[in-house]
Amino acid sequence: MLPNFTYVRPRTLKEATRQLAATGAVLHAGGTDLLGCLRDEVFDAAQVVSISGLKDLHGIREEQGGGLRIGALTTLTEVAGHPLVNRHHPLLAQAAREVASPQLRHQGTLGGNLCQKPRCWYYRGEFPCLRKGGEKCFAVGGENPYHCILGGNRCFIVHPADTAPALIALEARLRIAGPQGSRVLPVEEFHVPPATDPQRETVLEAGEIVIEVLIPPAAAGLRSVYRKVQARRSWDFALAGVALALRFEGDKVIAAGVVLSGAAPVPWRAREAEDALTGRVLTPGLAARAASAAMQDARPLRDNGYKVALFQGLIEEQLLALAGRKDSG
Amino acid sequence: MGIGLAMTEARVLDRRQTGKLVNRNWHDYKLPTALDMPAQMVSVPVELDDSEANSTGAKGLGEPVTIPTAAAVANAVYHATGIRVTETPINPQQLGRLLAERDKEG
Repeated sequence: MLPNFTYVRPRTLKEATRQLAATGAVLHAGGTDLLGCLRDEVFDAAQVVSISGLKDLHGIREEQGGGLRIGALTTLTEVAGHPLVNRHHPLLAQAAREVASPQLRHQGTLGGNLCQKPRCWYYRGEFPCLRKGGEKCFAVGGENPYHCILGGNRCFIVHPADTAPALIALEARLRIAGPQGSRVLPVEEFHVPPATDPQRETVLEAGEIVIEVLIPPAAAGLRSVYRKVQARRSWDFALAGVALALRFEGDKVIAAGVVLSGAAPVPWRAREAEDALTGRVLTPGLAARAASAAMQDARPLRDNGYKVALFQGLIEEQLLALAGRKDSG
Repeated sequence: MGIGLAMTEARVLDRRQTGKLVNRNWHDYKLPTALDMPAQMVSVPVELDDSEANSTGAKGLGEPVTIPTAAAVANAVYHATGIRVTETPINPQQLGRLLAERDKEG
């Protein structure tokens, strides 16, 4: 059952941030996640603030110097198909293409993909779990084949966004508008781990809206990829996913971004793997070592130990694929 | 239907805590999609008249094709690995576990 809510469609961003700051207000952009959450009574809403009519938040533009600005309301279909994204940042196009199904990608937005709620079946189901203000995480003693192997702390969700790891690997930033003005922060700092607060997913404060994604110009020697493994071939979240953005100088890796999806409650930066790769020639032996390093802190629950081997194989495979490819930057 | 029964679909209960169904939606209960359909798998109806059930010789063809599919997949797994799978869904998680158990036993 949907709750009883008022529906407003502000004409300006300023009006939107003000209306969103009200108690019980929730944001509607593409609405693909919001509708399911309200119908499943994951959270309540007194007012739905729809920003879908704010045309300024839509579209992909290239800046002087080659950086990209992507409006938060740009659909995932548009991100996946855009020539500039495909030319400079193929991993972001791949990540957008891997989200859900064609219908959901036509409707769902890039901002919404970053802000969506977790997919844990206890959180989404009729269980009063910690993230919903209850006393415990049901995944710990329950059915946990799809839960996290890294970064779990009181709550053991995995972060569902495919585009977030890609954007973090590219060192993208977000512009956020709020009642007090706007701020910019790295995508890497946007999501909140349960160790900090198990009841919030992002740093957004009341009334704040993600309005724009800023991607720096593709550096010379950049090669990137996003690869996702799912339980079926379409319309699914990642069992294991990896976003790689490596800068090469000849055969040598001079900078590495390795970010995992389906691993942790937030998009997971595998710093051990990045450190193992940086400054070295990417040989098969190094790819295997970096993949192991990414999993060195993994703490599987009862049913998700398979993810450790899956991630290792996936990371190693994709590193080797990049080692054999030409630069896109 | 047969592919789903064999390889992806299962009702998951919160066995150790509440007994409630946890995968109660079409995302968590995994119906296969068109992309999951293996191109090389075909069903071959055996066209024999059924003179007992009715006067036209017709037989139904719908749900009956779900019956042999999981067994066919289990037999293919046995042929490839020597492991007899007796539970569905026959998915990578289950196969990984069975292969690991076999390797441990030597």
